[in-house]
Amino acid sequence: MRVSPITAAILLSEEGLNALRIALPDLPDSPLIFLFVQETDELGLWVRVKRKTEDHVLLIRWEFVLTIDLPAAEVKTVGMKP
Amino acid sequence: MQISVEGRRSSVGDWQAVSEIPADQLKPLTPEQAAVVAELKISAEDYARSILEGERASEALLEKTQRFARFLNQRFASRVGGVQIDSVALETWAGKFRVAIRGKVNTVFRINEDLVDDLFEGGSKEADERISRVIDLVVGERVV
Repeated sequence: MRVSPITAAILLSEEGLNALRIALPDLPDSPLIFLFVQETDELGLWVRVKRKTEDHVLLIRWEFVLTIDLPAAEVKTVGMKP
Repeated sequence: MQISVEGRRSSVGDWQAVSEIPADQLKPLTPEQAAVVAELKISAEDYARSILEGERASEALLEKTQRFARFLNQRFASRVGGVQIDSVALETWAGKFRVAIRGKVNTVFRINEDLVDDLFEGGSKEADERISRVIDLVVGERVV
C-alpha cells in the first residue's frame, strides 16, 4: 500500500510524542498530530517539517507509531470527451 | 469517458504552498469538519491545511489521469479499431491506473503508475513500449 506523500493524522506513543516535542517544540497540544509524510520505509515515517528558515525531514520510527489516519474514500471524478 | 482519482496523495510542493498560506486566509471548516476537530481534539488550522492540500493534490492527480487517458486513447486508436475507453481511474493506494474498455473488447486491466511516470516524467522509451505491450496483450487475449 502506497501511503505517501500525504499529510496524515498520526497518533504516537507517549515516548514518541515526547521525543517529537523535543525536536518540534511548537507542536499543537493534541495527541493526534498532522504531519506531512514524505516517505515511509522499513525504519519508519520520514516527515517533512518547517523550521524557521528551512524545511527539515525527521524520522519517526515505527515502534512509536500507534495509528496513522488517512482520508481513504475520496473519489474525484470528471467526464472527458475521447 | 470517465476519469477519476480514488484515495488521496499529495506532494512536497502542495504541502509547501499550503503551509505558507496565512492562517486567517484558510477556508473556514464546515460544521461537519469542525465537529471532527472537536471530537478528535486536533488542531483546526492543521486540519484545514490538510484538507486544502488534499484538494490541490487531487486536482493534480486528476490532470495526470486525464493526460494518461488521452495517451491511451491515441494508442488504442492506432493499434486496434472498435475499442473505446470507458473509464480510467487512478487507485492512489495501489499505485495503479485501472482502465475499462468496451466495444470489440470488453475488459478491465491495470497499468502501474510508476510506468506512466517513467513515460511522462522521464520520457522513457522502455515505459512506452511496455505500456504498448500491455495494450497488445489485453487486446490479443480478449479478441477471438
